[in-house]
Order: sequence, then structure tokens, then C-alpha cells
Amino acid sequence: MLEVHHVTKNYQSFTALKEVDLQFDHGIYGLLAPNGAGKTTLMKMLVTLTFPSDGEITYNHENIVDLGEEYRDILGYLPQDFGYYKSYTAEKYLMYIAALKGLDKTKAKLRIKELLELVGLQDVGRKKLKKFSGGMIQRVGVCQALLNDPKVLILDEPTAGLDPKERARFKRLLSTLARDRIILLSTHIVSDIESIAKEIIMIKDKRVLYKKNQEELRSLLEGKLFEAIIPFEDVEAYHSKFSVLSEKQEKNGIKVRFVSEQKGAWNEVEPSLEDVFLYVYEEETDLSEDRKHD
Amino acid sequence: MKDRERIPFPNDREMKNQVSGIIEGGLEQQEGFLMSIHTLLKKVGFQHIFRDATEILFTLLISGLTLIGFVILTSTWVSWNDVNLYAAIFTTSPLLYGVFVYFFFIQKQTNPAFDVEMVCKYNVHVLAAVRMLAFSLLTIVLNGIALIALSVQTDIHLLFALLLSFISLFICSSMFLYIQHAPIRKLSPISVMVGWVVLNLALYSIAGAGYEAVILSIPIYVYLIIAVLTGYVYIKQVMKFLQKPKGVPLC
Repeated sequence: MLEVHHVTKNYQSFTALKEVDLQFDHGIYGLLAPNGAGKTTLMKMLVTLTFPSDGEITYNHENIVDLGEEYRDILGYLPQDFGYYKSYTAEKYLMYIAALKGLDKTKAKLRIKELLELVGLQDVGRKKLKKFSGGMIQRVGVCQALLNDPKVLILDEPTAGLDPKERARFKRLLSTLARDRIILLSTHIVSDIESIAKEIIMIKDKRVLYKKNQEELRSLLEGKLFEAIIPFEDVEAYHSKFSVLSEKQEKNGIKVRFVSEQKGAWNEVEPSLEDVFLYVYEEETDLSEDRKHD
Repeated sequence: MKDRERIPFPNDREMKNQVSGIIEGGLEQQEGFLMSIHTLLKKVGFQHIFRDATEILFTLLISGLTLIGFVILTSTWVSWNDVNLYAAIFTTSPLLYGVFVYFFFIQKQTNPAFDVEMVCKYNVHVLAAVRMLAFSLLTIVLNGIALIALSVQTDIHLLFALLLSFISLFICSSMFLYIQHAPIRKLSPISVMVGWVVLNLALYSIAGAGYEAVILSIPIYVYLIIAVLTGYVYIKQVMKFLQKPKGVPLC
């Protein structure tokens, strides 16, 4: 079990995360927050690239920094900006990372073949990485993270640059892998984790706001989410009275989706994870603010 | 009950032995220095430890230029006897090592794949141990060649000069390594090298000939002991990279 105990991370006078407590068992965990909320900082601490200013992170009750190489041996990591050597072929790059992960050469070759097939890059293994598209590079990134069959897989914005088909393939792959390992996936795109995450963690104001399953999260808006088609001139009034999560132009007006504590003559709708996300991070995703800037 | 009474109570020595046995059995055995290097070379491979051809070329180029520089400097037109040679040897010996290692760390930390390499079982720190060892051996060899060349031109005591060179190299490289795995880095690694030169120049300019007189007044066996001790400290610092190394504090 991977546990974050009361972790705070300061960068000089700036606090990125404050008193974070988390536990991860097997399965997929989605770390959902807007950009700049501290997702990458948390991920970097979980892979020992940076250290908590206060508190500790443990794996099976031992501090991950003290575990050192033992912990890194069971770790797979895909950073947000996945770096690679352009002059290397995909196979050569993966062989290099496999060597750093301490994999036997023969086993590494087999594993690389297997992984390239898994991500659909078997035909381009001998091509130089500089010729790869963004999506293909990201798939090589996923391969390197999986080389050592990690027990803890940390993926920072893994779907960036993937097209819808690749995203769907990636989600299927994660669901298969999650059976016997911890997968923590950070994203600000709700659909990346919807339907596959066992639990979703939301960070707000430098702290963990929620760590709940999707049903529990959706229930936060149960009975409070409505839709109504209103004339264009009423939109501003709705914005000042309610939390408007989305707007859509219709023939006879604007269809608004909003949160209200009181029921009215509106259509009550089933909340989605996206609704919860938009509601929780209302200030960061304020539609009225967007309109002002437009 | 009677059976229990028959079991003899262990004495202090037996208890101590048992406790030591349990601790030894339970604790993970750390490999020795040479064994660790051997394991690393075997598992990762020489070609991956010295992966970057540019880096190797740069190292060779620096080495070549240093040698040529010394050959030029030791040629007959330089009157070496007028220079405070022992002070100069003591001051400049670690510089070549500093250039090699600093280049390595700069190159690594600006390397796009740094994050991925840092979280591997044998991460940048572990590889650094082997690389640094190779760099110090190369520096020792190059400094040695330079001093031998110098001894042909001047009347310096070769063994004494070599010992001075080893000591200053080991002191500086140990400090360099210490800074590298300090959890919070307040000093830039290059400041060790700059600080070393500035300190020695300051001492030389304050004490003048007296500085060299102090260096010369210490018996050679003392230097030998210091060289062994500083060498030991250096190996211990390299070992810290190999055993349970901690990640680089990037922020």
C-alpha cells in the first residue's frame, strides 16, 4: 500500500500542497484538478523526484526515500513532459531504459516487443523517435513506464497528445493493468478517468478536497442540477443567481445547466463527473469570466 | 511447567550473539565498493553508463587539450622554477575533475529524459558513482602525466608532487560529492571548485612564500597518510551514491 502521510510541499515561501493524506491500494486512482493545482508536485514526490517539506510517503509502511532502489524497482513513471533522445530508435531507447531498470537483456528484448505490440508501435520500433508524432511518442512513454511490470504506476497527464482512438485504447490497457497494481493517473480531462477510476482525488486550495468513488462524487450534486432553456437576455441573471456549469445555444434560446439549492420549474438532470468537476472548480472554470474576456 | 524449567536461561554473551545473528540475518547486506561497481557494470552495461558519445568525445577532447597544454607549458620557454610549483599543483589538481563532473551534471539535469532516468532502479545518481570514479581515475592519470612531464623540466620531487595532487583532488571531489547528495543543496557544486582555487590563491597572496614553506615543511609520510585518508573519504562518498541513493532534489 502506498500512503501519503500529512505531506506539505513548500517552494521557498510558496506552498504547493498542504497536509495531504492519501492511501492507495490496487486499482486506478484519478487525480483530477485544473492545471497548477499541485498534481505534478504530488506525482514528483510519489516518484522521489522531489521530497516533502513535511510529512512522509510510505510504501508498505516504509519511507519511499529510504527504500531507494527497492522502491524504484517496482515503480513506473510517465512524466508530463516525457523526455527522450531524438536520435534513438524506439527499440534502442527502450533497451536503454530497460538497462537502467536492471532488466536482463534477453528478457528486455521480449518485453519491448510485447509492449510495442500492446501500444500498436510494433512496425515502427526501428524508426528514429524524431520521426514520431506526439501520440506515438506518448505511447513510447507508456512503454518505458511499463517495462519493469511496475507495482506502482504513476502517469502524469498520459493522454496528452493522444487522439480519441488512442485514448480509448489507452483506457482499455489501464483497466487490464489495474488488476494487480496501483495506478495513479493525473489529468484535467474528466473523460480520461470517467468509467475506469476506482476513486477520484480532487485537490483544491493546496489540499485534498475529495477522495471518493465516482458515484459518491456525483451524489454531491444529486437533486441540485438542472437544465433550462432561457432567453439570451436572462443568461447574466442566471450567472449571478446560480452556478452555471455549461451553456449551449438552442433554436429558441440558451440551454443552461446549473446548480441550485432550491428546486424550480426546471428539468432536474443526472449529474456527471464533469458537472462535479466544473462545480468544484467553479472559480477556475467560470463561464461568465470567460465571456467577459471574450 | 517442568519442561520449561529445564531450559537453561542464556547468558549475556549468548544473548548478544543471538541478537547479532538475528540483526545480521534480517538486515540487507550491502555490497562492497568494487562489488557494487562490478554489479552495476554487469547489469547496466558500459555502453549505457557512458551512453552519450558527445560526452565521451568531450571528455577525450578536454583530456587531450589538457595534455597538450601541459606539454606546451613544460616546454623550455617556460621557466617553471620561477613559479611556486607545489602551491600551483595543490591548487589546480582538482580543476580537470571539476570540468568533467560539472559537465556531466549540467548535461544530465538539462537532459530531456532526466525525469525518466532518475526514477529507474539504477538512476542518474547510481550511474554518477561509476562515472565519477572513471573521471577521478582519468584525472589522476592526466595529472600524473603532467607532473612527470614537469619533473623532466624542473627539479620537483615527483612523489611529493603526486601526493599533493591526490590529496587536493580527493578533498575537492569528496566535497563535490557531499554537496551532490545533500538533501537540500545550498551550494552550487561548481562553487567547491571555484572556492578551492580562490581559497588557495588567497592563502598564497596573504602568506606568499610562507604558504609554500608550510606545504614543504610537512613530512612526506604525513602526506601519504593524508592521501590514504582523503582517498578513503572519497570512496565513502562514492559509495553513498551506490547504496540506497536518494533522488536528486530538483526543487
